[in-house]
Amino acid sequence: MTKRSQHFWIDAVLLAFTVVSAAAAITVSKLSPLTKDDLRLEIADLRSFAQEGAQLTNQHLAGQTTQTFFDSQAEQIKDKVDSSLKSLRNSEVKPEIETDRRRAVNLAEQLSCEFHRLSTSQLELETSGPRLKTLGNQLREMEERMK
Amino acid sequence: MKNILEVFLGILTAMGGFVEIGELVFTVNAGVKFGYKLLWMVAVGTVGIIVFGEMSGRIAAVSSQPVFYFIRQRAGYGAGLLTIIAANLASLLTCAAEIGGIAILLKLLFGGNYILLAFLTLVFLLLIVWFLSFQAIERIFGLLGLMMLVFVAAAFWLGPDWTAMASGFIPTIPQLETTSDYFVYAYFAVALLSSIMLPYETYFYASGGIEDGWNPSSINQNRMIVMVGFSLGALLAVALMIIGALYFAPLLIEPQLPGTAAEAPAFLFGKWGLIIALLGMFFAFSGAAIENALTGAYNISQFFGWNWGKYRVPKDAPRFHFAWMIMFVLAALIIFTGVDPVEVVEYSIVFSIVILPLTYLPMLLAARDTDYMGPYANGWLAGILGWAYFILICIAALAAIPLLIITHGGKG
Repeated sequence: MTKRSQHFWIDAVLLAFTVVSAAAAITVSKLSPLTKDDLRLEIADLRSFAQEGAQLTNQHLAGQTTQTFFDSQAEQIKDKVDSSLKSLRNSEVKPEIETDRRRAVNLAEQLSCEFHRLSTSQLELETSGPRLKTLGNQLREMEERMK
Repeated sequence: MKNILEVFLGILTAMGGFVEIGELVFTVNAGVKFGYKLLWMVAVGTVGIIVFGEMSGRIAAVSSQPVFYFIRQRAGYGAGLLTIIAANLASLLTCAAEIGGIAILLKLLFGGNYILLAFLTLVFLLLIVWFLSFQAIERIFGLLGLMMLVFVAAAFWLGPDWTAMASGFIPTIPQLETTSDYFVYAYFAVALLSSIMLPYETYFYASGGIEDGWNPSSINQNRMIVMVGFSLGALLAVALMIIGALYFAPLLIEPQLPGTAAEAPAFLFGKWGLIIALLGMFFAFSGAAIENALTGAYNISQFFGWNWGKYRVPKDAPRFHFAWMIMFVLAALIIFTGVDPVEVVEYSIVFSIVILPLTYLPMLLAARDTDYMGPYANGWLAGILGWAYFILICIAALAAIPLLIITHGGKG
């Protein structure tokens, strides 16, 4: 075997090892049961979505966004919330965090409903902002408690 | 005047490194999580990409040979082939993310179905690259991408604490609450460095220099272009970090969507601020998509010794022109599956990090070779900086993937 072909195989094995181990680690982390940290991170995402929804609503009421931007951005955040909700509902969790998971699912369902209202009823905009803020605060408290 | 216009090659290249969709969201989040504490890494990364960008441009100007010619020549066929596979996968995934990002922006501007908008984006990009010359592309997207400066205005408007900001440029390990926070800090530092020094920027930049007909007399112009272009990219990255620290962090928002970043200019400057920010992102993402599709085609053509270049008509370089079209089409197909564009970029960084040393070592060896470069070989400053950065990116390459896994992609 020449020196060049030796180099090729060393490089190939290193590259394959790096890519495969990264892909395996990501896949395993997605398939394994939710840990307390995973749950806290999902809750942090939901808190961020709730806070953004509240701020977006305030900005729209203040005339700082276009209707198209508001509708599209709210729809995209709702998709993200629904994705988190699906992950929370379908994931297995350890028994000690089952109560927290149920509470997170409940708050995520409320959040999803709020974003649905934003896209369907412009009349409720003024009350949606404070409701999203309250949900954000509840999620924040839960997140802090789980640290 | 021609020299001034050529600066847009640097700006367009920098758009792909500093403000493409993944980097935009990532940089704002770095500001949300760590305030000004990671500004020093933007400075370190910017000097690094200026060093290697200048080197790749100088080699192209002296030898009229692009980066992949040297990778094959210095590293051999096998290692070169692996580098090209990883490089083109990274460019393909980044191009896909940009197409998804452009479709999101069109939806935010005009509404409509996301997949349909992604298809229209594909058609738009194919037509642009088919009909416009390389010079027209770099000038149009480089110039209109400057609308991103609305983020600089927004950062200034937010009234940063200049003393605290200046101290953010001094490399430090800050006092953080938990061990996990230190890992997240390390992840953000390494990922910022790696993403600013993405190898495809040098592939594109050197090929662009050859497209623009550079020769040894272009070396000073090359220095000016990398300094202006990449410094402008750094200015945008700093502005995005300030916006993260001063606007989103107090609101407890960690942006995950490109549209979220535009909410800050909207808050400060109203609807026009929002529209300018969205248009700026549109041209920046489009520039990054074109940069990655062309880079994929440049890499393959240069590696296999085919005729290449936008300046050549399709009849004279059919495989090169077919390659960039295939890059766009494959990228769009990835987006049609409904995958999240921001997540796609995270995967592309895995491939980019692996090829960082494989790209920069052959370039460094070629640039210091006096037999090849003659009087234009690396001087002592370029030599010291080049090797120092090479060691740094090797450490970053080794640390990046374990940190990605430990920190759940930087979330904690």
